Amino acid sequence: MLKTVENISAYYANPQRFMRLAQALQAPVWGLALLVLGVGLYMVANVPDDYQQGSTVRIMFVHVPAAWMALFAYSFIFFASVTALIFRHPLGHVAGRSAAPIGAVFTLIALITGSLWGQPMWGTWWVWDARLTSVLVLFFVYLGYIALWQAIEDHGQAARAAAILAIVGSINVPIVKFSVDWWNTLHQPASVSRFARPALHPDFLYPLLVMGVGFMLLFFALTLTRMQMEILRQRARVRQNGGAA
Amino acid sequence: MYAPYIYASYAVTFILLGGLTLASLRGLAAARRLNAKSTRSPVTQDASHNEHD
Repeated sequence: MLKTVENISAYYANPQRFMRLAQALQAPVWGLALLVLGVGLYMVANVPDDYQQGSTVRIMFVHVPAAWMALFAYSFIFFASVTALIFRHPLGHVAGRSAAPIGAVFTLIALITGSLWGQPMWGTWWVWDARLTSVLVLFFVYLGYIALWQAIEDHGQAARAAAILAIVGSINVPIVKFSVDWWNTLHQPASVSRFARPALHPDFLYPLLVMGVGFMLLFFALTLTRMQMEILRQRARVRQNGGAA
Repeated sequence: MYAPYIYASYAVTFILLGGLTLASLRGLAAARRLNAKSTRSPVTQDASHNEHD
């Protein structure tokens, strides 16, 4: 299994081969993402009101998948950075740089929708509890990663510095995930877990999972698009410099 | 009573994800144009001549 993953990874280390694959996959992944999101929104439109939260429970169907994707995108950047720094995979830096704005947008959505959910339910837009604060820190780490790419002119140095920041910043991912278990927070603990029976009624659980899959597909569609953009920009830059990277 | 919060949440999500999607697709189109232009630029042609030398 590991050998197969290694072989596939080595095969697509050639950006030309990756570009061919990305071009072939782009339209189907975009189409599937929009279809699943459409089905998810239809399901959300038909969910009943929650007995405690009333109709505000509908905010959950964008807030929770956005928060999942904020953590997933950062984990993706972490693995891409490790792959680039340790295994010197040529697409590692491209993948990390491409996913960063997507992760930042998902984190911002989680923060804003969380605030819009907190006001009617908790009576406040913001509290400095462990979950909210660690997600805000995650957003700043994303901004720092993006800024580092922009700030350093030498492409190789920028890539290495950004990858190191991504690896160091990954310490925040378990803090975000387990903050609700480690500290007393106003934010509720996880309702959907691999290890325990979901606390959500199926009326809410299934639309949430469909929206989660839709957001995941959208992440991959955007990442494929942005990776192609990065490779083409790099290629043009190399040509402009007369063959020197 | 809660409708403004719900509509605002979905509006923010659509605007941010829609904006990112548009920016990404436009960025890809611009990168394709830039790449096509750079293959025709004198610098590139000089570089390719040098490679043959």
